[in-house]
Amino acid sequence: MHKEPLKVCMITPHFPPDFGWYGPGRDAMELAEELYQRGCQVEVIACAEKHVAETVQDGLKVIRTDWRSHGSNSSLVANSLPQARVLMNLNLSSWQAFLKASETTDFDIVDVAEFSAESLVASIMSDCPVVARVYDNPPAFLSRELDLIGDSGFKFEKLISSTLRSLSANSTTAVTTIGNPKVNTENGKGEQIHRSNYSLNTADFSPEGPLAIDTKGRPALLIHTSIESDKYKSLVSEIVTAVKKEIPDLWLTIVAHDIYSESSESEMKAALAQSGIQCDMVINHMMSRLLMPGLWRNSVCGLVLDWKSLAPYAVLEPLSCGKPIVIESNCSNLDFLSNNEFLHQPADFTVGAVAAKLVELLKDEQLRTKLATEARKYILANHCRKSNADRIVKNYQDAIEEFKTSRRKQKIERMQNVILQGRSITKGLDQWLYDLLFVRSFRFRVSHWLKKFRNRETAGSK
Amino acid sequence: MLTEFLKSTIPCEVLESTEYEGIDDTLLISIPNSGEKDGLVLLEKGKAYCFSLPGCSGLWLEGNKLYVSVMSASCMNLLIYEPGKPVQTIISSKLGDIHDVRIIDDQLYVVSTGTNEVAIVDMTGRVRESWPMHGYGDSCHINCLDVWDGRLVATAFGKFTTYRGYKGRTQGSGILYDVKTRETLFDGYSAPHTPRRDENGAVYVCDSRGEGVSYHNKDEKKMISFPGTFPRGMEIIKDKIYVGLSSLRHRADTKDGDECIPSAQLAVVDRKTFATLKRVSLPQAEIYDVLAVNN
Repeated sequence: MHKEPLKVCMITPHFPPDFGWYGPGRDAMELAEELYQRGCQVEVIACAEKHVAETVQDGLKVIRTDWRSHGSNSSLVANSLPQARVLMNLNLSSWQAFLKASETTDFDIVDVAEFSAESLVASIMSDCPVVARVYDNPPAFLSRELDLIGDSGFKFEKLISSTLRSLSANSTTAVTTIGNPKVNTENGKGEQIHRSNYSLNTADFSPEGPLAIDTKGRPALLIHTSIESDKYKSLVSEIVTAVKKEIPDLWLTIVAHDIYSESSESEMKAALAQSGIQCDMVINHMMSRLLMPGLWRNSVCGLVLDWKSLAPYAVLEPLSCGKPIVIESNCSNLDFLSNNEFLHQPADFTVGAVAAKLVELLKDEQLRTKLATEARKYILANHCRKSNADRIVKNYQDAIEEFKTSRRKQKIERMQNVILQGRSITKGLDQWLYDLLFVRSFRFRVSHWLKKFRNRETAGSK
Repeated sequence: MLTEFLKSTIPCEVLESTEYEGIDDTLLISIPNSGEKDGLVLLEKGKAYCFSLPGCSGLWLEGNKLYVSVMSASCMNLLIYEPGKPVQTIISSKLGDIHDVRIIDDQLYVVSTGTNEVAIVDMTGRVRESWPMHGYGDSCHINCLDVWDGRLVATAFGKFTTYRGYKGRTQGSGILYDVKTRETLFDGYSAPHTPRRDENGAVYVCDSRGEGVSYHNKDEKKMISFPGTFPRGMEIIKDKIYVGLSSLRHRADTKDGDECIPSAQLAVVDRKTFATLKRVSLPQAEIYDVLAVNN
């Protein structure tokens, strides 16, 4: 058993505050803070949203890397393998930072949030065990970037990404899945795959605690939504109008997660009123972060709309505060919850159906209490960061023990995998060059068709 | 040395104007709510260097080290500039919307307006000790610090208990209080900022919504008025007082009158007579803090 304080290197593309406070990055932050509180020495390597720097954050050293491509956008690789180029840059920057961090710190374990091949160099170095956390979804900033670039259409691009990913995942000592992602277990690692859940601080997000605002004794509804688009403006307006018909003294708080401007709340309120939304309080997502526990405690129930980029915390936070919520069903899957009986997702997400459910929750105290108790119980059993960190630390200890005993065997297996994957890359490269020349060169296309024609003639004459 | 370091470290635009001439001191001025290309202004030898450092609030100089708090609503973000060394960034996810920063007895104090407290943080971003006011979130709007006779004091918009409880109620509700005991020392201000005490024991507070600087020395009370402005940020040095004057025109929920200044100004006030000797216009809308950095 490892007795000294663990020295952990955490590699994660997303780590707040950069790129926001949701998704896998938030989970990594909750884990890092919990490890730190247990006396571990944690160094984090993460992508920089703006400033590439070595920073300190809540007792952790956080190295922000430059993951963006600075080369010419008209280069052959930039044009034909643009997504692979982004992922490769992300990998290279985290590998480089890891090597630099390893010069000064002798890590006991490397914990990697694996989206591409972030763990590969640490695994090949083989100085200490490498454990991977595999999430159901990539960080929102990375998805956005890849969507923006678009698909090149070359199969080789996907082959590079998938080969690097599987090579990297197969080289780690252990894998923990978070949010129920699909993980390839063909390499016989099935027994080493641990399951965990997104974690949050259940002491902060608790039903008991101070309230954020004075709702003047009125029943409060919190709507967590985007508000800039006409779609959500009119949806919120219609739902609120319908609910207010039944509950005229409703207190309405809107947490708007797509307002980035410095507009004051009074300006935002006035703008919403013009769209037919009379709210008592509107707050932008940055101001609301530290207030969310108090705001949820203030509320009787909630409505969560357009929450894909806020997943899964926009759903977990109210549940942890024991607040029943209605959520927009087609935003993101709910695989991160093993039980979602206490959630309401009207199948036909109509104004009438949503408003009726909210009115029911606002009026029926017995139903609310039942749902609140179930939700809190579920969150404590599955998403409490203390309990999840217990399991992760246990996995670290196991990985360290395993690493000590089976190092040589693992190295051979790892190298065999590298050779196998190398072969598929060579084959793919050959095909890609052919495809690329076919698309780009008229002479090559003529020679391709001539060759085909001659082959057919030869075959015909035989 | 520090100013040269800032010029070589942070991208900046240099403005030249006869207006900037005649200011003997080298001053750093923080600009909140600015655009990407703004945030910190250095007035030096007749030139204004506008540094691209958005969201600056409190400034503090300890030896040759400059501490800058950056207003980030979702967390604490502090920057430390020291000539010859890499810029240090300290972040705390437990604090937010930092309005002021100061070193006292080798400890780093910050005003976390977003969490309604004054806290000591260590150089790794951990909160070591904290003095919260009553209420939740930004309820009292605690903003600026000073030390008076060994007492740590701060200005706040009032004793409110819920988030933004001060909205529409700042008139006369502002206080200056002892951070550690929560005792109110002075009250009756309207949205006060920047408490300062000079070597003679006279105290100055920017009574921002009161459009002046409140002066209090033993039995003598005075208001140095700056009508049509929002005074915030002050440096008392030798025979002068530098007062930052923000434009009300750019502030939401404020009705601007004829006297309203179109953009921020720096007032140079004679310390004996309290007469305004000069006003220097800056292209930015607001000023948060003013700090002398005579190299």
